[in-house]
This record gives sequence, C-alpha cells and structure tokens, in this order.
Amino acid sequence: MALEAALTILPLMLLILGSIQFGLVLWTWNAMLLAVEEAGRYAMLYNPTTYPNGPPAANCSAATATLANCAAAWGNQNWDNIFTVSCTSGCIGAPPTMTFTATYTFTFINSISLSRSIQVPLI
Amino acid sequence: MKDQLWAPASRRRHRHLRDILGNDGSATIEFGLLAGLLLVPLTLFIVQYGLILNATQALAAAARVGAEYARDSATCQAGIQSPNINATCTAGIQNAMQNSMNFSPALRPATITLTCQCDDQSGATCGNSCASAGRPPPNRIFLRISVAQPFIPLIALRSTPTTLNGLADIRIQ
Repeated sequence: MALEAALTILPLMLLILGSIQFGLVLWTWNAMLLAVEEAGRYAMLYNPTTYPNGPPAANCSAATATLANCAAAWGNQNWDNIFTVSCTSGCIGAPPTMTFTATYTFTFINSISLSRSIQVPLI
Repeated sequence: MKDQLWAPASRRRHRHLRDILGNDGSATIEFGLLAGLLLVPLTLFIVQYGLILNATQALAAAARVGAEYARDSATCQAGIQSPNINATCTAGIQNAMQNSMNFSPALRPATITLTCQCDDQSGATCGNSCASAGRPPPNRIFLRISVAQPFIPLIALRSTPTTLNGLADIRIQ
C-alpha cells in the first residue's frame, strides 16, 4: 500500500507542479508580449517621420536617447525591469520597421529561457 | 488445496473467476484507464488552453499594431477622408499585423470598419463634413480592426474554436 502510494504520488506531484510551472510560464510569456508591445507602441508613436529629432526628452529614461533605446526603456520600466527588453532589428536611423525582443530566464522546477519579439512599422 | 479440490459441488459453483486469477495486474489496468481517460486528456486540455490564450493575446497585440499603423501612416490618413479606407492602407495594415509576430498559420484578411461622429458624439456618415451640415465640427473618425487566425487544436471537440479573433478600436482623427 505504501509502495503504491509512493508510486502514485510521485507522478501526481509531478503533474501538479508541472501544471503550476506551466501556468507561471504562461503568465510570464504573456507579460513579455505586453512589455514588447509597450516598447513597440512607443516606437510607433514617436516615429522618426513625426518626431525627426527623437522622442521628447521628458518621456525618455534611456541614457542615450535614440528612439530604439527610449522605446526599450519604456517597455522595461512599465514592467519594473523584470524582463530585458531591447531593440534587435532596425534600431538605427529611420528604418521602415523596428523589432523589439524581451528575454527572461524563468526558474521554478527547472530553468526555461523565454524570448518574445514584435516587429512594428515606423511608417 | 485439498479442501478446494474436494469441495462439495454446491460450494465450487460459487467460486468466481477473480478467486482463480487473483489480483495480479489489476493495478496496471487501473492505472492505464486512469492515465488514458483522465490524466492525458487533462494535460492536453491544460496545454491547449494555454495555446488558445497565448494565440488570442498575440492576435489582440497584432490588431493594436495594425490600429497604430492606421493612425500614423500618411497613406491611411489620406484615405480616411473618403467613406472607405483605400486599398493601400488596408494592405499596409494587414502587412503590419502579419509581420508583427510572423503569424503561422497566416492571418486571415482583416475586417476594417470606419465609424464617424460629429464632435458632440452624434453619429455621422463617414465622408460627410459635420461643419458643412451645421453640426459641431470636427469629424471624429474611429477605426475597428477585426483579425482572425485559424487554430489547429490538439484535441478537437465541438466547442473547440477553429479560428481565434483579435479586435482593436482606435480613434484616428
């Protein structure tokens, strides 16, 4: 009986913990989408056509105030800098599109590296 | 053993198959049934729920990217003066949404609708100037993007969606 219980409880615990980890990863994965989306919307809003001199200084917390840096900083600070949001493509000058990527290493039962990207048009 | 072999016929008739075969292997069968009917479908449903949730959120994000494109793009802004959005703008919105997260399977062509108001929030026909009609100017123009993507389920039930939708509203003027 004890052996059977041990044999049953092990997979059951694995299933329960696995479900919890799945839920947490899903939540994080979704939050990362929102973070890159924030960065993307910032870049679209302060696009180089409308703002040729870059985003307003008051709305940028990046050390070097390029559009890519400001947008990434915006995405980061809106999620308490939990993730690492950065520009990964079309980051310099006035490109037609810009890509933002958030990365995060999730640790619960094991380590999972998560990454989430969005490409936005800068018109 | 001797007792069993030489038991009276009346008692032997009441012996069941279970008494002869014993309980060996029944736990395996029970586990097989439990795993097959409960644990595996449960796990697949949890994963499928996650996939649906994630895809829905991604579609909503894509629709917002499309909406932002419509608000910022000169092509779209030039087109919205007329009652309908021009084809270049529609193609640009679709392209921006599809490329935002490289959707696979590809997004279906989006439904893009315009609604217009005068400045007192009363309804107006898009393309008609509120000012010329003696109503409060300027015209307000709202855009709604509805985008869909086919969904391939892990477990298909009648209630499982075959397409998922994303919706975004934005005021573009």
